Amino acid sequence: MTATNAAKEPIIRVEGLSFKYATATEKALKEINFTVFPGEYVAILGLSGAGKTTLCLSLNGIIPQMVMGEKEGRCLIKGQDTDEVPVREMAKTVGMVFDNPEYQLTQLTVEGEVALGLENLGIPYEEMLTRIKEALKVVGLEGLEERSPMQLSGGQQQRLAIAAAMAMYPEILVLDEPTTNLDPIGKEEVFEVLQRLNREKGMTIVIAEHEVEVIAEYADRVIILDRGELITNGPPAEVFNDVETISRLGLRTPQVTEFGYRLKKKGHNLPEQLPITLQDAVKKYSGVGGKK
Amino acid sequence: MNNMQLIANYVPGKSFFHRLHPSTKIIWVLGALLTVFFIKDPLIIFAFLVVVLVLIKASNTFATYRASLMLLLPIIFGLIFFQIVAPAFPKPWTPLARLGPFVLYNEGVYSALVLSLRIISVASFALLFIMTTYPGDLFTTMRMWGVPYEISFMVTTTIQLIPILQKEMNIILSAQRSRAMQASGFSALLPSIIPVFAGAIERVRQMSMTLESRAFGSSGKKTSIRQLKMGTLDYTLIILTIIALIGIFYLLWINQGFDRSQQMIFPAPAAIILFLGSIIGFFGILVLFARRIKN
Amino acid sequence: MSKNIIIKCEDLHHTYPSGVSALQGVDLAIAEREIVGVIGQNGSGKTTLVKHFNGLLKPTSGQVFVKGINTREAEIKEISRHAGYVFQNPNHQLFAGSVRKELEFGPANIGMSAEEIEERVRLAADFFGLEEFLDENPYRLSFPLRKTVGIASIYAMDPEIFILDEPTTGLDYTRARMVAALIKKLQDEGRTVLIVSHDMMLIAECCTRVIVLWNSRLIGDGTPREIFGNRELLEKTNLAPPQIFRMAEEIGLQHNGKTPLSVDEAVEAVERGERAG
Repeated sequence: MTATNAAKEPIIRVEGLSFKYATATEKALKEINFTVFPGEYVAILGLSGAGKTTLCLSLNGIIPQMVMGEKEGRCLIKGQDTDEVPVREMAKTVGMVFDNPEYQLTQLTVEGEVALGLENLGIPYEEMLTRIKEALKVVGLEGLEERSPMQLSGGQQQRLAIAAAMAMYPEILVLDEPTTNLDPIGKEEVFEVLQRLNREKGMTIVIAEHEVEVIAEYADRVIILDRGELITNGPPAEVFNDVETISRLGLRTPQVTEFGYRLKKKGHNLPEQLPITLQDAVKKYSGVGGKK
Repeated sequence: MNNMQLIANYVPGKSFFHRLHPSTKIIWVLGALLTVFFIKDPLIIFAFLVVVLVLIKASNTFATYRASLMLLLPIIFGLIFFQIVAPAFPKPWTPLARLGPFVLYNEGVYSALVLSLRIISVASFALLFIMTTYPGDLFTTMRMWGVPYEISFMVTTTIQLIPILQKEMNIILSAQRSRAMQASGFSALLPSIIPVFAGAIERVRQMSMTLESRAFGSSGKKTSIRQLKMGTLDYTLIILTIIALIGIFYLLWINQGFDRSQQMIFPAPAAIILFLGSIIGFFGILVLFARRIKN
Repeated sequence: MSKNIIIKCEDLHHTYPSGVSALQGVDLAIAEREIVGVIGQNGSGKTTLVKHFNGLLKPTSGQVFVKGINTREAEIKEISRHAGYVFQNPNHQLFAGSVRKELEFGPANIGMSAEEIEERVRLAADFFGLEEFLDENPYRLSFPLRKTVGIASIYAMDPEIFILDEPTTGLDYTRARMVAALIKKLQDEGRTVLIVSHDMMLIAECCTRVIVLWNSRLIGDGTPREIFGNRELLEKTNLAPPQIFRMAEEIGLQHNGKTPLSVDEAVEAVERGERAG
């Protein structure tokens, strides 16, 4: 990624962004700076209350347009200021998936749910059908078109919310903890779907998530927030290898990385950069046990 | 635990009524409303009600209808009670019987019958419409009629919110019963209603964010996934309806709405039964509600 | 472990009024002081099963006994003294103007005296570290704290059995650790805990026993290690053990002759130089 970035313009540019909710005493975000380039897959990590949701909502202008509070700094999406472009217009560029799937489902059928955004974009009928079919296939909900979203399981609802957002073909897809109700396999499925959208459609993905194992597996870059501040911004291999910082923040690193880190401290001979995924760990730890 | 279904919502199906265009159905409901409002003969209104009930049965929506009617009945019983003792009629009233402090009037029985039958029959017809019309189609139809996008959306979304809140209410009731709530009737209300309201507020807030994020209300032309078309049947029915309405109103006009308040004399026992029935019915339904909440 | 059976299901079937069959012939006995993880995919029947244990649902056929009480013949009010059910979403149960009133609600409902209630509220506040929030409105607290109040409101009723529905969902790592610590404390107090969860790290860490539901049936019952080591079962149910367990299996790492469940065990295993034969 990084090699090609120099030539590209960032698609998201956050400059000195601070936000304080009207009801709060402390700022939820404090002078955040970062950029995202087209086609990147960025994960945001942090404890509850670290500012992940606030940051996500800032990326399509819900903050400050629909949430009361004081904002400083700028958030530019393809050069457009989120203060100036109404959320419903920005929606044509930025798709948003929230954490509670039930609250995002407003239609009587699965098909109608995916269609809603397309209707608003004025997509012609025939193309709408194609996109709905495609989106439901990607999230594995084909055949359930006529079902009521209320009858779906939590995991299915979450995938439906993703389908509804992705069918609009946004250039950027922002997801705020979209896998909360999913079982581990369900989480992986969602991340795989996102990876496909990212690889095949070049969609830029920004996702807030707790599950570090899946982040390590799929994301290109990890941003860590702590009490409103941006602490780290780098590739997952680097970020998750900094075990001290991660645990100081009350977060954790993938289990395989923690395992290697603790062995290293006990004097075991392990590579400089520890594996962060299961697959890599199996390769690198196959001969583990030999001390220096 | 019983799922409490208090208010009707869309019942999927493929009946005759389901297949009609919402416009046709809206014209019917409005036509029925006007007609019934001007008819003063309880027997004719009753006959109309029977027809509506047959249609409801034929659309496979009777179970949902019956549940919704439960909410209407206390109002009806209350209405009957007050009409019998204080009719909405010019005096003098003809007394039929006396029960303690209450005097039951012939005009009261008559107007109780007319008013309650009017409400029940029109409400039933409107329920039939709601139960057989996909909310999305209602939305499309409202748009077709030139109702603004936002208002159309608000109406259809509100209709859809009802089953969601009912589901929420059921979860909350079981959460409170898990804490051994004495769920007899109204003492159960507060611990259940507060979370429902708090949840509803949060839901509406999040929903508006979702809608904005789905470009709802954005600039540019809109399309629709539901390809709603007025069929030949719809056009024929609408034309027939309009002709029929003209005929009906002509008849109503020359017969002064079939007013039979002077001819119909009710026997005193019938008035007493109706009067007592309304009281028993009113409280009976409240008790039934309370028991539903409990089980 | 004592072998006093506290929950017992005999050929339990449950069919919802809609006609959906959610449980088909579950036989199960849970002993006092067991910490049982209930796992399975969404829709497998987990929640339906545990809702029978405080009488929220009654068997369509078969029997459920909680502390010897046949749940068919008892009201929830009676069963909830023994079995407390903590709902996944605290917003579904919190309604009172203060945390204190929230904690008093359950105990008052089961007829505790004023002194008892006060004592239970004090104990619950202490156990869950809620003293400083007692006079706060629950709706002003953060989601993780509301979730804690939800568990505390059941703890105040002093049930022997705790049923926790997805206790760590929506919580970050630090908060999830606190839930794990709370479950340990409940265990130390000698209570029986059932945990319905997708959080396999929590299951691996806390549970003495895991039962697996699939398609309305109970298809697995064993220690976490036995369940996570049963590939056939996991594949069928689409469940995945914690990452460290999967890694240890792949590279043949063993702890006391068994696959390690936690990073602690895995590190220890390497230190001892233990390998699968």
